[in-house]
Amino acid sequence: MNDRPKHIAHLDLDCFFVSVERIKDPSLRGKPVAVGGSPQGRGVVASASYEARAFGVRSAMSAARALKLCPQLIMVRGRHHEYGEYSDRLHERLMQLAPVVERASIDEFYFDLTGCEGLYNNDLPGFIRSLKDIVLKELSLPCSIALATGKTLAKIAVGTVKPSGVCIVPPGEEKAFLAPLPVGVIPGVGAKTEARLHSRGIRTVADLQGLSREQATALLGMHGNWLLDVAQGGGSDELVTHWVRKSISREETFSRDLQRKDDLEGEMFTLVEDVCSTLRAKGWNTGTVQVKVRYQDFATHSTARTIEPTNDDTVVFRTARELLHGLHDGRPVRLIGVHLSNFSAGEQLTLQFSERDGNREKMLKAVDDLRAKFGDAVIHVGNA
Amino acid sequence: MKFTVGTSDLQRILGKLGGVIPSKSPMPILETFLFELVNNVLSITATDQIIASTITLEVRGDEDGKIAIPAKRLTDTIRSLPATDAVFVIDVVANKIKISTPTGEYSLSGEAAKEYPEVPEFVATATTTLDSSILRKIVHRTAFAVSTDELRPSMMGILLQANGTEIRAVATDGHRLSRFLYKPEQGAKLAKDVIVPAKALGILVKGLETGLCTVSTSTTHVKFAYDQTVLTSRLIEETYPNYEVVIPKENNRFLTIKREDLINAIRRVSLFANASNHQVRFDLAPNSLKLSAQDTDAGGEAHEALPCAYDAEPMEIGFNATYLVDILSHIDGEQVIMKFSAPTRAGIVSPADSPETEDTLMLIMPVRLTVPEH
Repeated sequence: MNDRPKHIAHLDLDCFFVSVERIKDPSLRGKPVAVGGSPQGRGVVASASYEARAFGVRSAMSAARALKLCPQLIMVRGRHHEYGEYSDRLHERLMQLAPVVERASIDEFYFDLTGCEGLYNNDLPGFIRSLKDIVLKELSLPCSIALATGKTLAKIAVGTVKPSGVCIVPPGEEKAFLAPLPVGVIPGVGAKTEARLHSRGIRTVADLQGLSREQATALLGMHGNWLLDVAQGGGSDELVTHWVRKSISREETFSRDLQRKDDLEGEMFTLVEDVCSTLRAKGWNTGTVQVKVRYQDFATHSTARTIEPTNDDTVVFRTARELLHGLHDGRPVRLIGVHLSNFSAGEQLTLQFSERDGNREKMLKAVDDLRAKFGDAVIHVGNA
Repeated sequence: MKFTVGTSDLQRILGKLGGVIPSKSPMPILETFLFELVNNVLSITATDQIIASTITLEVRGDEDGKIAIPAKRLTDTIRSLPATDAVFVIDVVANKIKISTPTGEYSLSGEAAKEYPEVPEFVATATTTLDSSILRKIVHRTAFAVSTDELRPSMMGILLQANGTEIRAVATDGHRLSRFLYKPEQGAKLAKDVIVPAKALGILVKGLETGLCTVSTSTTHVKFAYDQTVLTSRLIEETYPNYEVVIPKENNRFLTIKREDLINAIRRVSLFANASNHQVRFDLAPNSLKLSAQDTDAGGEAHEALPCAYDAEPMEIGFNATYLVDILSHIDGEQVIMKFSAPTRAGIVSPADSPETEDTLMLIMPVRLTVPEH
C-alpha cells in the first residue's frame, strides 16, 4: 500500500465536435454553432459551442428548440468518423506524455502522472498549464484540464473551469476545494438525488461533508457511501487503460417518418457507408450486423446477424437490407440504425490471382481517401 | 434375383461407397445403392450425379437381376449383423428385398433399377498409371487447402496437371495454396489440365489400398480404376486461377525451424488468440522467433520463444494459426523452411529436405497485424 498521493489529470475537450468542425471550416469560429441532426425534423444537438450555450442551447436538446432559443445558431451535420480520428490523435499524443492514459470517452481522458514529477521539473501544475496550449497548438483543439489526487476529483475540478481552463487541486486541499461547490457537481448526483439532498438542506459539498456515514447511508443507501467518499476527496483513482472499442454504430432520426422501402434502404445505405469507413480506418472486419427500427410510437425493434468477417460496404449493406426488410412491418419509421460488432482485429489477406481480385480493395481504399479529403458526400460505393 | 454374400465383405464395401451418397437430395433415388448381379459378380454403385463409384465382388449367385436398395437402412442393417453369410432374395417386380441370416430375416422395400440414374459413358482420351501411395500423397498434400466457397467453383477442386515427366497438383482457397510436384519414374501424361472435385479425391483416398491405380480422363470426366473399384467424377469445367503469378520469387528472409516444435508452440499460443481470426504474431530477429497472441476481448495473452535459424532483417508478421498449423501438418520432415518478404506478402513454407522426385510448396497469406489499443 502506497500512501503517497496520486497525481491524476483529467482532460476534457471543449465542445469537441464543434471544435473539429471549426478546424474544417474556420468561418464557424466565434459564432454560435451546434453539431447535430436536421432542425427541420427531429434532430438533436450533439455538441454546442459556448456562444450557443450562452443562449441556453444544450446537448441532447432538440435542434428545433435550440433554433428557437438561438435563431442565429448554425447547425452542422456531424462527421462522426472524423471525430474518432481526432480523438485517436490526442490519445496517441497523451500516451507519449504520460505512462498511463485512459480514454473515458471520445472527448475525455484521464492520465496518471504519479512518479513523473521529475520528468516535468517537479512542476506538474506548470506542465498541465502548458499541456493545454500544446493540445491547442498541435491539434487545434481547445480543452480544459484538471490535476488532482483522484479521478473523480479531477473530473469535478475540470467542470469548474470549462471552457479553456486549468484547475489544480493540490494534495491535502481536496476537502477545502470541494466544500463550496454545489452537491450537483458530484458525478452520479442526478436531479432526483439532488432534490432529495436539497430537501434535507444539503446544498453544498460542505453540507455533505458534515454528515456521518450512518446519516449518509440512511438518506441515500449505498449510494450515500460513495457520495461521502467523494465529498471527502476520495472516489475512484484506478485508470482503465484496456479500453477496446466493441462496436461501431450510427443511427438517423428522420425529419419526417419514412415508410417506403426505397427511402429506408437509401438511408440505411448512408449509415452503412459511414460505419464501414470507420471500420476500414481501424483495419477491422465486422462479424455481426445489427439493425434497429423505431416507429412513431417509439416502439423500437432490432435484429442481428452474424456474417463472415468483412469491411466491405456492399456485403454489410446487403445484410443490413435483408435485416431491415425482415424487421420493418410496414408502419412509418421514425429512426433506423446500424450497429457493427464482433470485430476481428486483423484482416486476413488474400492471394491476388488477377488484377481484378485486388481491385475491390483498392477501390474501397480510394473511396475512403476521397471522402476523408472532400467529405462523405463526394462519392458513394454503388450497391447494385 | 438371389445371391449369398459374407456380411463383413459387404459392410466393407458399403462403407467405402457411403461417402458418395448425398446427405440431402431432391432425388430420393440417389439415397440408394444400385445392386446388379451377373452370374457370380455383384456390382454395387453409388452416385450423387457428379461422382459415381462402382465396386464389384464375388458372391454366390443364384439368379441375376438389378435393384436399388435404400442406402442407410441397408448399411445400418449389415453393420449390425455378426460376421456370417446373408442370403438376399429380391423380387425385382415388387421391389421387395429379403435378407436372411442363420438367425434372422429382414425385409425392406427398394426402387426399380430403371429409376436409377445412368452412369454416363466414359470415353478416355488419356490414361496414366500411378501407384496408390503417390495418389494418396497428392491428396494429403493438397486437399486441405481446397476452398468451400461455392462462389469460386474452380477452387473447390484440385488442379491436376501431367505433362509427361511430372504431375502437378494445386489447391487453394485464396488464403493459402499448396502445390505438389511429383516425377514418377515411368512419367505421367493427361490430355489436359483437369480440376477434380475435392469430394471425389476424398472418396478415392478412402477406398485406395495398395497397388496401382489407372487414371483416365475424358473431355468431361476423370476415372480412377483400382482393385475392384471404378470411381468416376465429373470435372469442374472452370478455368483454374493463374496460381503461378502468386508464388513469390523474392522472398529472401529464410527461417529454418523444427516443424513439430513450431506446430506445438502455435497450438499453445493460439489458445490465447482472438477467436475469430486466430491471429498469432511472429517476431523474427536473428536466430530468434517469438510467438505471441492476445485476445483483447477475454483479456488473455501468451508468448513463446523458439530456437530457429534466421539471419535476415527483423520483422513482424501475423498468421491465422489454424491455416498455418494445417500447412505444417501436411508437410513431411523434421525441419521446415519459411521464406518471407514483407508483413503483408505471402510467406512460403516448404520442407527443409525432400526426395528428389518431389517438391512441396505451400503459400500462406498473413493476417494484417493491428496495433492493440492502449
